[in-house]
Formats: sequence, C-alpha cells, structure tokens
Amino acid sequence: MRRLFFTIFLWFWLTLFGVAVTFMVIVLHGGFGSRFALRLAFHDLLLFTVAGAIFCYLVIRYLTKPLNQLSEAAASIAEGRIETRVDPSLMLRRDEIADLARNFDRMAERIDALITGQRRLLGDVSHELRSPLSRLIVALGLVKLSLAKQPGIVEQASAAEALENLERIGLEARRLDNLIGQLLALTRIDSGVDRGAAAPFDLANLVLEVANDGNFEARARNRGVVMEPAGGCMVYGFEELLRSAIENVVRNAIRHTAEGTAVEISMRVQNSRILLRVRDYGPGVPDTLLAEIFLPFRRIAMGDSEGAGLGLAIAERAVDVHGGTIRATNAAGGGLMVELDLPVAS
Amino acid sequence: MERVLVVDDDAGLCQLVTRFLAREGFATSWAPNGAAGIELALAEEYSLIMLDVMMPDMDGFDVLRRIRQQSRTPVLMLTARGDTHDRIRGLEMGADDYLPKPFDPAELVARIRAILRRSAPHRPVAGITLGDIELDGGTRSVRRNGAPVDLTTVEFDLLAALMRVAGSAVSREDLVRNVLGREFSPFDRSIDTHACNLRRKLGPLQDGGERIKGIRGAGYLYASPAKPGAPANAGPK
Repeated sequence: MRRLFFTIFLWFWLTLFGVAVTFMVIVLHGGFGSRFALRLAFHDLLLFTVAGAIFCYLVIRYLTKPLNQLSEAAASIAEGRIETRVDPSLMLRRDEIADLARNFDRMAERIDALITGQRRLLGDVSHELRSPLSRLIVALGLVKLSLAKQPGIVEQASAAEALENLERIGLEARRLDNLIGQLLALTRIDSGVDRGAAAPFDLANLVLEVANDGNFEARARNRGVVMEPAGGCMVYGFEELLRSAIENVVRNAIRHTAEGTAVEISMRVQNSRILLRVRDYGPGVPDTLLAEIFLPFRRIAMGDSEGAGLGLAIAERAVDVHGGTIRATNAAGGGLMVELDLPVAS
Repeated sequence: MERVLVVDDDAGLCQLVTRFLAREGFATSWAPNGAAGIELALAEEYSLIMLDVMMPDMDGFDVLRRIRQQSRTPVLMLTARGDTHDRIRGLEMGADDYLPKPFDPAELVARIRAILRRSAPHRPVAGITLGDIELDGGTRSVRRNGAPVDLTTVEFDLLAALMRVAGSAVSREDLVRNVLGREFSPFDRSIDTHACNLRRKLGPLQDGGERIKGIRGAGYLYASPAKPGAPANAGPK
C-alpha cells in the first residue's frame, strides 16, 4: 500500500512541479533582467511545490486509506476471524470504493454463513451418528454384565461363544466410531472450520510427546518407538492439527512394524525446512502404490485392518495446511519411511 | 449409596446408563436439559454430576459455569470424541474429568470411582510451604503470598504431587496414575491440560522464573525455589 501511495504521490507532485518550472521559465524569459519578476517566479515555484505536496498528500490519503482498511479486513478474515466487516465509515463515501466495501461485506457475510452452516452440519452429523453408537455400546456393556454375573454361565460353551460375538460387536462399534471421528476430522481440515488460532510452537517437543505416547502404546504389543534427540525448532500453525497428523503417521508405523522392532523417528533442520522421518520395520508398500496411501480409504491390504484408512489422508491435508509436503518411500533394508517436510517459523 | 446426577438430553442413553450404574451400586437421577440440570444440581446433594456438552437448550459449559458458582460437586463432562477444544474448555472451567462419547460403560464406572476417591473428604494431605506458595493439606486450600488461589480438586492434587518432590521431575504416567487415579493411556492429554491450568493460575515464580516446568514430553517439575545454601525467602523485608 505504501508503494502505491508513493507512486501516485510522485506522479501527481512531479506533474505540478513541472507546471511550476515551465511557468517560471516563461516568466524568466519574459522578464529577463527584472529582479522583481525573478523573485516572483521563485515565490511561485515555492508555492506550487508546497501547496502541490499538501494537495497530493490529501488526495492520495483519501484514496489509499480505505484500501488499507479493506486490506486489513480481508487479512483478518483470512486468519479465521470471519465475523470481521469493513469499517462502516467506508459506506458513507459516494465512490467506487464504497461499492467495493459493500460488496466485500456481502462476500464476508456469505462466507460467514457457509462456514457457520458447515460447522453446524459437522456438529449435527457427529451428534446424530454417535448417539445411537453410544446407546449401542452401553447396552452391550449391560448384556456383558448380566452374562458375567450369572454364576456358572461363563463355563458353558454357548455362553463363551456368545461373549466372543459380543466382543466382536463392541469392536465393530468402536471401529465405526473411529471412522466417524476421522471422517469428521478430514472434513474439518478441508473446510478450515475449527482450527483455532495459528501460533508458533516447538515441533520437537510435540514430536517427542507423540513418540513417548506411541512408545507406551507399542510396548503393550512388544514393539517400540525410538526418537533421535533433536534440538528445538519452531513451527507456525495449528498445534493440535499437526499433532494429529504426526500421531496418525506414528500410529500407522506402530501398526505395521514387525514384532520386536521399533519405529524410528528422526528430525533435522536444513535451510529453514524441517525434515521429519518416521520409519518402520514392516513389510513396506509396493512401489507403485506408494503415492496412493495418502488417499482416503486406500488401504494396502496387509491383513491388519485396524485403522479406518483415513489416518494418512488426514496427515497429508494437515501438513499441506502448514505449507509442507509428505511422501512415502520404501526404506533400504525394508519397511516404510514417511517423510514430512515443513517450513520453520520465520 | 452414591448418588449420581446425569444431565443429558438423550433419554435412551440415560435409561441404559441408569441401569448400568444401578448394577454397580449407584443411584441415578436424570435431568433431560440444562435448566433442569442446574436446578437439581443446586437443590440436592449428589456425589457426582455427569454433564453432556451438547444439549439443545443450553450447552454443557454454561451449565457447568452456573453449577460452579455455587457448588463444588465433582463434574464429569461428556464430550464429542476428538474435540480437543471442548475437552480443554471443560477442564479449564473446573470440570474434574471428561469422557468422550461414545464411552464404554465399564470405563465410565472406573472414571466415576476415580473421581469419587479423589474428592473423598477427610483425605489427609501433608501441608507444604515452598517459596510464595502455601499448601494446606487440612482445608485443601492453596495460598500464594497469603492470597487464596481457587484450584479444582485435580489441580490441588497435581500441585501437591509436584511440590512434594520439588526440584525433581514426575513422569506423566505417574501423575495420571496418582493424581487422576486411572491407568495411563497414551495420546490422552488431560494431565497436560491440568498442568497448563495450574501454571496459569499460579503464575511465575517470584524471580520471574517458570514455576512448573514441562520436561519435554516426559513429565513435569515444580521448580525448587531455592538452591541449597541460598534461601529464597531470606533477606530483610
């Protein structure tokens, strides 16, 4: 905006200055020798210069100030404050800028309505899909409780089979819940709803927390997660969003790494980019399918279908929101290596 | 018999939960909306209140705020799974714990028992004074420079756990087990939310240093206010 200001300012002012100089030259030529005419010409020049500068300043301020306000409002909306509207004083003008401001507000209202609607829909979908699931899981708990409390029934073969089937129902219900959660998470990322405010945070700390939690989860299944020590490095963005991205990548690696092995995490900073690597010792993925694992529901059949098939898709979108990239390769020596490339906070 | 108040608009779920809790030895009352919930919560004595966040008339946070103005009855929030904002907001506003919906009823009972154990009266805690903080185990109150600090039960227990071994770190696993009274489950960040609230309520140390330090992903530490031989409180007043 400042550049525009000075361009217009110089353009206006130089024109006026030029007129003043021409005028002076004419006067000088006409009244050569007359000291009075010369002084008059100098006065004229001075007057033109100063008055021109003030006049130009006012005109340009009148034009660029509303543009500045519009620009600030647009930036505010881009940062997530969708309730922002332009200053009402802009509407009092009688020029094209007032039209622009009015149209800007109409656009902002429309975006506001869309996002509010989207948010309400997501909330309703979550609530309506999960309410029956909640009842189902509690009812299941009741059945299991009454089976367990009947003396001697657990020893019967038919009861044992019934319990096994009940466990299965519970497992499928949880899987369905997981799927709903991930589907909603994916939709939230895509629509930009409910991200919270962007802020700088230490990525190394976040990764270490995820690694520790992952290690705890993995130990129960005789696997592990190890992380190379890494220095702190700040990232600007949405901490919880990036946490879920890294959590999904790490948990995916834990699911696939072979028994007795550990998922390896390393992190280094190079040319103000962060390279985060998560490597497992599992069967890897056929080379032709490597790019596909980030697509929703594109599970590479490997027996274990514990995940909902959306974890890596969520990771990909979340990394994309932070201006980074994610890719997968088969590591030398077997296993999948997922690499996240993220910009360091400036 | 322990009495539990369930505030949730889902009648079917409440019926099932009531049956399940009855088998586990709890008497349950039901409030179908926020207004009725507040009325019952303030009119009668309950051991615990289960509060749904999403209700048509009034959201759970408003109900929690109104209840907290007059009552310190433990509150368990039922949140939508995966919604971290709801979880953090609930714990910040003085809920004792949260449980994402859909929940396993056995897990619900475990959480209720953990909260009841924690908030049981006459549970002696040794008093501790460290620097500007004075923790009174008898009245379960905390004063900073003589001024009372309003802490929830969990925050009080967390502070006590950290101050008892000031200067050395306590792992998140130990804190979850001893303070929240349940088994550590990975990717559950509620203990971190409590630590964050505590940090906010107590502010920095007198010398401006960090009072409760996070040990990168591993645990928390209450900064020892004085190094041996250099008492922080010494010096002329």
